[in-house]
Amino acid sequence: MSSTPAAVPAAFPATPGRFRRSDRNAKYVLLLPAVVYLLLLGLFPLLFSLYMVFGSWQGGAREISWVGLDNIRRLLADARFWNAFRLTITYVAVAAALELLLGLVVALALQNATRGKGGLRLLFALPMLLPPIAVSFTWRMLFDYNRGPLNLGLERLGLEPVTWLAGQQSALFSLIIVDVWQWTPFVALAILAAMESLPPELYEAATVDGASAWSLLRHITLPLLQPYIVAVVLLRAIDAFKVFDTVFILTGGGPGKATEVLTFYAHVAGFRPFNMGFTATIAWAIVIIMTVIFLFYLRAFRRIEEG
Amino acid sequence: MAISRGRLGRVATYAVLLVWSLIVAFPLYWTFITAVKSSAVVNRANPTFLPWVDFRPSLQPFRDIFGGGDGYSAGSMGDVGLLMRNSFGAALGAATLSVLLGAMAAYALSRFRYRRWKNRDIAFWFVSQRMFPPMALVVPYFILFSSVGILDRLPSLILVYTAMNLPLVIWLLRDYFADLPIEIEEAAQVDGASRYGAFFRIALPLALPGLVVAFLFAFVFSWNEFLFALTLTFDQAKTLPLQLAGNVTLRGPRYWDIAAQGLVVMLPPLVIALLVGRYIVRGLTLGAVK
Repeated sequence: MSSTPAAVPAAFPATPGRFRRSDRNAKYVLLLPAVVYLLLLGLFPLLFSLYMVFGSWQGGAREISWVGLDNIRRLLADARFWNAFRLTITYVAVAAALELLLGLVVALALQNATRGKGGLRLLFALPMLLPPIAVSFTWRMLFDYNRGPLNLGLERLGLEPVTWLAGQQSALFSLIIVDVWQWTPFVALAILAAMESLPPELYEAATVDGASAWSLLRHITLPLLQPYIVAVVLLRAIDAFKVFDTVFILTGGGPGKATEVLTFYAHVAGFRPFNMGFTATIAWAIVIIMTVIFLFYLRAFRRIEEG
Repeated sequence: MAISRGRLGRVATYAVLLVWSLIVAFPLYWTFITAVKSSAVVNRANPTFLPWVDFRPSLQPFRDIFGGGDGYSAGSMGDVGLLMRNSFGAALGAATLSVLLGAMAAYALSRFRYRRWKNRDIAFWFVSQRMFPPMALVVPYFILFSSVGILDRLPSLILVYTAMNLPLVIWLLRDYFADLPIEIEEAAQVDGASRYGAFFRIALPLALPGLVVAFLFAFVFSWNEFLFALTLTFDQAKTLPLQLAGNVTLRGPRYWDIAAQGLVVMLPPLVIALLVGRYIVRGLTLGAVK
């Protein structure tokens, strides 16, 4: 963070005499365009979609008609919504937990490695920079029941092939596998960066005292990392809630409704029967959940900042 | 400050790194080799793994996708020229606009002190924008853009992608400007330069490496974007990911063509990742670490 005292330059208010007219203008002229931009294309559309929660708009219609609480009532009574809700929570919780576990292991290994660190970091980072649609098709090939390498591998090990994308239970887990593949590096690299910022003196002192590797990890590294870990996991959860692309390509919400997560249901509800009001209502349910997670995240992040 | 120094620790360390490297690399490798397999090779009963060893590489997929055949059924990518223009146009436009607006705001946040809303609150407000689920914005964007008449036109994607990238671009650049020495700017101001002169002629050139990273960051995530492209464009402003996604409706999956198409879409982010991946990842993990 840059708003530490050292980073705030001395041009103001300590020397108000040198705070010149062009400075006073620039202070706002430079900041406001971005603020106004995000108000117009971020906050305003969001409030507009809140308004849509109480309205109905079908393609081609001139106006949005006011329907009061109809959309909300329909949502709360909608079994399909609660199914999507449950699936999304499962997806986010399992993906974030696996990513934390694997990310921590990979981060520790990277930190311990003496050679090849730079190259490995780069390799590990690749998946998150690739287009999710292309990544999804890659996994569609890997998951192929008959000719995919995953089932071939299982067969060679003497195991039964898995119906990765077609099974009621396995389809959601297959989506989680792709999420884990793409985003574990995020957790690993963030935790690694945090570990590298820990003061080495702590370790030296503890090593002199004869602490074992395990107790160093257990009593020094993990407790110090805790606020970072919380922040990273919450950020992952926020992003995992938005999952859409992989569902669109890999399962289309199926088989049946087995992978119809909230964003996908919102899309199906809005753009196929074209009821935008109901889509906005589902989307706002997501906004509310994410706001709660985000508030927890802010708390964690402030602790990092102050710590 | 290695955590474990014993032989066991070293073995475990490199075993973990090796396994994860294979996990990351194999799917990419599979995409590469499938893109040089002929349909006959893909349709064989047993999967093949090594070009020139267990199958003969073929350029059939690339002939298919650039052949301009009759759409998806022939594995063609359709009007590749148009798709490239749209994808590059949207990504370059959004990257330019977000770096321009982002650099100004980031500079302001790192050089001035705001009173009513403190600098930190403004910065948090910016980053909180990244939380909003795109799905909540899709409906209003659709209605607003169709009423202005820019649905299925490139400007709509540029506007949306800029909004999507601006928060993280600001955060990336704020750190960058904060690390620049302000003495040079002060000296220039003493010599009569205005604040704008100090910004445009001194701070911006000094921040060039940071601006490049922020630009490429915004480029990659605009290039990769799918949901807005899916809902706001259908034909004229169609981007590469949207075209690629069209293969999903195929009944008999033409994996060789899909792999080749996927590779084409992956190429620009892949090149950028290899060039400046480290710095872009730093941008991604901002907000998780200082």
